[in-house]
Amino acid sequence: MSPVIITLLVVLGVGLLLALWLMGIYNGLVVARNRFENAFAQIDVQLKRRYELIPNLVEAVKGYMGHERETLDAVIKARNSAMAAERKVAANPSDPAAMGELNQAEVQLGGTLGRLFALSEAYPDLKANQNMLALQEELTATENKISFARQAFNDAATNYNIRRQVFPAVKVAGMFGFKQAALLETAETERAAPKVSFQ
Amino acid sequence: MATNFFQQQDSARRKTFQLVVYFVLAILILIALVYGLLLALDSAREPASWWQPELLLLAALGVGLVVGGTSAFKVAQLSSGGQAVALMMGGEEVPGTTTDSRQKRLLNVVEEMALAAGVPVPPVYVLEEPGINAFAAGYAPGDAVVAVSQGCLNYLTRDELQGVVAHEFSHILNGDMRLNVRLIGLIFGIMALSIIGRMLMLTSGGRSSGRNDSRGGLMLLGLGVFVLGLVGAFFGRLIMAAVSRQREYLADASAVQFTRNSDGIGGALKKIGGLAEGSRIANPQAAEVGHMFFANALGGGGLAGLLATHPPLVERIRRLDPQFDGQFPEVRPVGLDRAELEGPWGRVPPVAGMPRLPGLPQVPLPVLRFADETASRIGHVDPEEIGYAQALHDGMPDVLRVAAQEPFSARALVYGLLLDPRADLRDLQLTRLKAGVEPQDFAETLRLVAPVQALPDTHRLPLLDLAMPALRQMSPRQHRAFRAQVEVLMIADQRLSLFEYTLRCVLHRHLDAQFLPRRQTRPVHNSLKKLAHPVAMVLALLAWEGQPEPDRAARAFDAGMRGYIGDDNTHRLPPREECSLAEFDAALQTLNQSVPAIKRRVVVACTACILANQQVTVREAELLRAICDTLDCPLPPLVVGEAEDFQK
Repeated sequence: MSPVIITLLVVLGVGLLLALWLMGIYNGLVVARNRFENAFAQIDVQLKRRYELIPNLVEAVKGYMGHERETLDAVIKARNSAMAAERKVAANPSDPAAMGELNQAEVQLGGTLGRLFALSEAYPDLKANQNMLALQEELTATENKISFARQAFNDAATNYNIRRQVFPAVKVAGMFGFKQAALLETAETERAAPKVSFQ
Repeated sequence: MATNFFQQQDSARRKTFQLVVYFVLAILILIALVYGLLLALDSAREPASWWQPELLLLAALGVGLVVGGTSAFKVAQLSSGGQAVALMMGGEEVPGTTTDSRQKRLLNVVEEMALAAGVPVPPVYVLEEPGINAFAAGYAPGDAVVAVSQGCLNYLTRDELQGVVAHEFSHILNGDMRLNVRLIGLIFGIMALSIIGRMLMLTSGGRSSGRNDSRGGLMLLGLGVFVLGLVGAFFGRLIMAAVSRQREYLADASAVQFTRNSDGIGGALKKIGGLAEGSRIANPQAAEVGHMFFANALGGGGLAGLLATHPPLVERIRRLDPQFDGQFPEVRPVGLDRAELEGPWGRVPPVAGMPRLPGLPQVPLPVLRFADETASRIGHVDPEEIGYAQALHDGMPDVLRVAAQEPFSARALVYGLLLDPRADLRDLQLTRLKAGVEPQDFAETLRLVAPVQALPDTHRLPLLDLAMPALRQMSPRQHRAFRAQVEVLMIADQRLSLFEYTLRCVLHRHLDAQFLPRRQTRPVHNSLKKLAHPVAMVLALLAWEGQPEPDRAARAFDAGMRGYIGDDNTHRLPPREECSLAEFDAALQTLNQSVPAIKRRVVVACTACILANQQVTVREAELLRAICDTLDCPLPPLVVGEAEDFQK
């Protein structure tokens, strides 16, 4: 065997191992991406549930606070734009732009809902209304579920981002178009703010 | 009998062993052939002797590295749990809270089948494929997933869907997945040889550097290796396809046995024939895992018959329905009504044999009578059990069933299950819980405490099984916090109760498999005698649990030992104080590493011990479930009650 052949064989062997390694990284990225995209489905169901509840809520309070039209309209509007953003994200959870839109819309919705609840404090009849209480209860439960599912989603997305950013993977990610995942921000802090400003 | 779980496990294991032998043989032959190739090329240049150690070393190293390395890579990749495989195929998990009625129906069917088989409900995935196909993936029942194509949801009736799901469960229960994964790895490794060969040809053909004869030699070597790899992979596929086709017939037969309805699975197969898309899967990853599918996922053509991963459709249908005339029906999407969603047992009239709960439909289930009967029921599903599971499923109070569907409240359910019925202990546990979790989690637990505590004992473990897919949706970080909290609740009363132990067994086995690095267990024990001591430890606790009086406990213990080892028994029942759950657990872990034939005896012995007093209590049934679960033997739900004329 001539040394040239042996060198070539060794190079090929190393090349094969390298190819396998890259393949492993690629597959790992695919799995991590699908995992966080799946985690979004979990939030998605709850978000939809919340969007369904909101019109009912508005309907329930209308009779009591009809002259707060502006607030009610703002809630419905925020709900509609959040719903549109949610649909976009559901179609492709790894699109950072859509996720940003959803984040913003959710903050908006949280703010208007907070204002609605703050206003409702002034109507003792409304506060005692069974229907209203049940809706509020259901909304809180849904928010709790959303926040837990969001945590799981953000963990999965962060895990994917970390995997994507380490050295060899970042090259593979660049080659095959694995984009950085955007996180779902919490709306809690923002929601508290309008409440305070109102009082 | 072809349906015995332990024999199936044994045969799957033997087949795996045979494969390893084939594999080693294949590598040796390949090394010899490559050596011959090198020798021929070398002596063409300068005639030399037939024995050249350095050439042999080169051939051995090269082939070993390529085939061994790539196989190991593939096996590791595929055995990282069923979820990874489903995600790689682009599957989307169906959330328990889904509002799509077709997906809901699928979840109902899978949940019922899982409860009937006594395995935790596997996560369910949907593949965005128009054809009718499905697959199960995962190494053990504990980390299995079931994936179904959108075509299945659209075109199949409930019975047909149930047939398909039963077929996949049979793969899970029979241990076919392990075999499949190794086969895929082997073939992938041999295929890699041909890729190397092609690369050799390309590199030597392209550039003009180096001496001419060495380039020509290299090219020939490349061609040789390429052909070897292809031929090797061809024969590998042939073996794989033959093995796979047998397992498919077996799974079809099991599906009929599970559901006692050959029209279900037969109808699904006929619809595949009638549908333009058939059972094809478009995802390119399908090529590698083709034989994990319900029906042929790849297009046919040429040598397809020999290499097909599945038997011909018509042949499969004829085995289920001998009258089949070869005419496939026209396929239309099915409409959904209530019976479709809830199943024929939707609301059945009350019958004796099941604990009574207001509004709970009841169905009879054969009462456990003989120890051997239990062993033969493991890894096996009866239509009665599916009916029972459906009733169990429907009878779960709505608030709990809904809570089990998503992770936030599923955790609270588990906390609720762990709360002690005694008020003082419960208060202590609640104080600990309040300190350890978020306020909204605590509030959710409080909300669920009353319905959970009102649940009859028989429904407690099934509730946990139902909550399993939701719990698996936690992130690893959330799982860590949850796991720690469960530990806190368990030791709050300073003593691990039996139910707590069982719950922990189920939780740890099925959640840790996903969240923590896997520890491979492989059977190392095959001597009945050497394992008599751990068996005695297990039986001792069981005996004391069922019989507080020493003589009766001793009798139960002896009955169990006789069931295990016959008359060679030298063990006597140790005093009650010497039996702890810790030792019981350690003994079970040892037994888990034994071969299936021994596991079967352990199950027989445990049942004999429990049956010694002709009465099975819920506690005993739960303990038996924990034992079987730890031994990876899925036990269908047991009916608790009087055992009649037990003599054995």
